[in-house]
Amino acid sequence: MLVVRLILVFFKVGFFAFGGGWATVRLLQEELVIRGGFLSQEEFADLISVSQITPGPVAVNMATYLGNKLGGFMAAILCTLALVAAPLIIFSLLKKFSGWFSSFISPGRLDRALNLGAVVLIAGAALSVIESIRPNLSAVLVGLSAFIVIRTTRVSPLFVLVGGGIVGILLFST
Amino acid sequence: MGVTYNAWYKRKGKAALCRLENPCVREGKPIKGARSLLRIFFTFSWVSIVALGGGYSMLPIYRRELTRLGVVNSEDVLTIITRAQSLPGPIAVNFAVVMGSKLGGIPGAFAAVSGVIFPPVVVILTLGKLLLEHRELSYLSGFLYGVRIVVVAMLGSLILDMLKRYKRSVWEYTMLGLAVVALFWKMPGLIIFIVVVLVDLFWRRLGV
Repeated sequence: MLVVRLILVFFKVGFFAFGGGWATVRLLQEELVIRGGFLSQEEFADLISVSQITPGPVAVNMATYLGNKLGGFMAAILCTLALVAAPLIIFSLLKKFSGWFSSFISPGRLDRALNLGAVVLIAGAALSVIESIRPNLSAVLVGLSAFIVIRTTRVSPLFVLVGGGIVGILLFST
Repeated sequence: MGVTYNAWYKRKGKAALCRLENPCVREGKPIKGARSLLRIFFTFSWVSIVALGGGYSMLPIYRRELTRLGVVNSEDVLTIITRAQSLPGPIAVNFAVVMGSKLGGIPGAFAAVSGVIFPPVVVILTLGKLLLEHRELSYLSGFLYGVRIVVVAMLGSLILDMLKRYKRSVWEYTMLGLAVVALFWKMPGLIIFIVVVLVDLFWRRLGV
């Protein structure tokens, strides 16, 4: 039953992930950490970190990891498939009904509204991660310098992430 | 979403674009077996591995790898990216859906999506599991904590890029502010999302 519930959570969340996988993170935190209690806030934050330095979108990585943790290999596969079902379904529906659909809402207007909704959910994802950071001077300085590097240089995000990790080893190892 | 990607390009400068133009592309002359399902699967698996780092930084890599097949040119890839961005779900998966169906219909879409999720599934079940099982080790916990902070910075940058896409009114920014406050108070994200989208869709009709 646990696994079925997990699969349904990932299936549902997939449909609201406009603007990329990050929009799912807040919803997953609410469903899995706060309501479900499947994993702790700390483990959730570490899972996000690991997702960022391994290949694949964060939502896919989460589905695989949690499915495997709670129900083994098959559950991992099923959760991951449940997550990617949404774009497949919406795409095939859009192919058939896009003309009918755009007759009462213009796609441009809808895109604009969904973009704002996505910003809200991504801000939610950022808040979910911030919750698990101890607000002290060194954390703020690391965050700000990472932000400046991302905005002003062309360095791949991967290097910034690994750089942050190395600084983390020096500053935050317990 | 469409212009988020363009905003990314603008910020990174045109050099990023030029560097990735592939001189070897012979448009209209697909390489042998370009549309076979196995080929689609492995192309997207490969792309998924080399596009490490995620998000919008991987789209130039997609461009390079897919024009290599000779079925689409780089303009097509841009159009497909724009279409992919209006679907829900991780951008890499959406892109695989749209591109896969262009290459091989619905079976092609399935092959492409399986290709994209294959490497992450394998890595998470092995390396990811190992890292998370030992996440309390001193150095590892420091490393993951450092990455956590950079993730917040990255999301901040992503939000700025997404907001650049449309010129928004003061009312919309007010609503955004209220939504963030509501998230801070732990109100359910799904409800906030739906309210924000509906209000933004219909607010002119409401006469605000």
